[in-house]
Amino acid sequence: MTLPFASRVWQPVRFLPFLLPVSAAIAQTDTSALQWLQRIYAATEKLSYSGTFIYQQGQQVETSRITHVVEASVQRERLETLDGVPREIIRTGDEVVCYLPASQTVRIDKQPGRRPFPAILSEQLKDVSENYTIRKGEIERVGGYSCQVLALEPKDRMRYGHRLWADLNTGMLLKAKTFDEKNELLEQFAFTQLKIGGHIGRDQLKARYFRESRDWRVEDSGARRANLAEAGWAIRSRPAGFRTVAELIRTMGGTGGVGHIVLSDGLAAISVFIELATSKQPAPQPGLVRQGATNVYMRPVGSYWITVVGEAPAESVKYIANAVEYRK
Amino acid sequence: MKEKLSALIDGELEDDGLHAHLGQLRTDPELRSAWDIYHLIGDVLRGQISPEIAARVVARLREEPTVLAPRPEKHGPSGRLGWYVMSAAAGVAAVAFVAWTASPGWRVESQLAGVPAAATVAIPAPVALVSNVPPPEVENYLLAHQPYSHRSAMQGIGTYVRSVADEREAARK
Repeated sequence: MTLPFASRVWQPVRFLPFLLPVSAAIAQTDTSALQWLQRIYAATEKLSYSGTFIYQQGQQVETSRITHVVEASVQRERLETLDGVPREIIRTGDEVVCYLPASQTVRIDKQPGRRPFPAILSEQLKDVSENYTIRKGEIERVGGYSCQVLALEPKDRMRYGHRLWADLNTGMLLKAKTFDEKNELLEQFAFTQLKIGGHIGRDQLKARYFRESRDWRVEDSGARRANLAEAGWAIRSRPAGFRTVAELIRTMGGTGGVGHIVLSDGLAAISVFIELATSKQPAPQPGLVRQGATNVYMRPVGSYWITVVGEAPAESVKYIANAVEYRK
Repeated sequence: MKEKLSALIDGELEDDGLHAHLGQLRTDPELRSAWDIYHLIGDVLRGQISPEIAARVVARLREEPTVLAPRPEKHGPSGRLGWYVMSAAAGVAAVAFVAWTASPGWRVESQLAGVPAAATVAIPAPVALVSNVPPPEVENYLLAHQPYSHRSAMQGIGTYVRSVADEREAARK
């Protein structure tokens, strides 16, 4: 079996051996399309850039400015919304700080260190190729850059379809669309202006609300790895292709001891939150809400509330929520 | 320590003190509870919470919460205070609920498309779906979920714009 490995820019050889046992999946997926996907992930980790993008879901379109700098392998990012109320998000490594001036709130979220990049990537790409058919499309222009179009078609209706536009030279993702099972657009991100590389001044990463926010309410969130199965929580069945990628205990919006299980099919991620009902007053009602490609479903299990959040169809999110059980 | 907290809230601490303080706030739960309460009081004093809501919050605080399950964690005095502050915040959020359901961004789904045969788990018929997940809570879940979104790995922090989308609604209130 020969694979078109060679590339000067990146080295897929180290990550690709997993492809051998999944030849059935490969029969449908173009391997060079899979390599493009890998290039996109690598570009996100390595490139410094600054630009303006739009996020559209339904009738709403919102413009934001983003700056991303990689310094000594630490990623620093700043996002500022340009329409409506200003909102600002600063990421430094694993810490994310959201400045929300309308509600005078600072939200701080710190995640446990992510796994080394190549390790997570090879598993992820294997899952993607098993759950989606990936095809290379045309070359199209986005924000002044020539891009390779990639189509990711779901193999069943438990996940959404995607179209991605990646810069031919750097692999950076410049546009992404998500479609439902009727092939209707759910949401899209697209750069309208972008500068990749070059000098990006440190002032572009400074939080403009840093001083102003010192009398705002601080909502601190954080997480540590945990074994929720040991504590008695289980997801007794799940849609095909979704496996557990993280189990955490977290603090969220001032509430501690919230269980958090993350499932992924390599592309779509679904979070399951488990918390004591007594921390929720008044008690929420079970139900489903949707924004763009994100579905949120809540239901009670005994004296606990289960909240499932995911960029997946309502069926998948509900399926997982209904499969959560306590066995002690 | 608490005087310093007060100074911090009044904006009287300079940058150095501020950093030391924010660090301590994030590690000391008791200090955090105090911080939240000071802010709640501040909001009421500044009239950012209407007297009616404040009264309802107080009424709720008087009611002993129904304990639905044995609490798995020890709750000291600070834990209890934390809970009260949470319930107060939830009271305010409940009022925000009306504005939120009218928000064009979030859709409350009234029915689901046909469930595929693969879904063998019994899925109960949709309840009358008037969800009252208040916006701040949805934002918290979205924020906690974002780092695991595949898109975060592909386009970095850009996806976080989803998790703060509802802040627009907060501004209209």
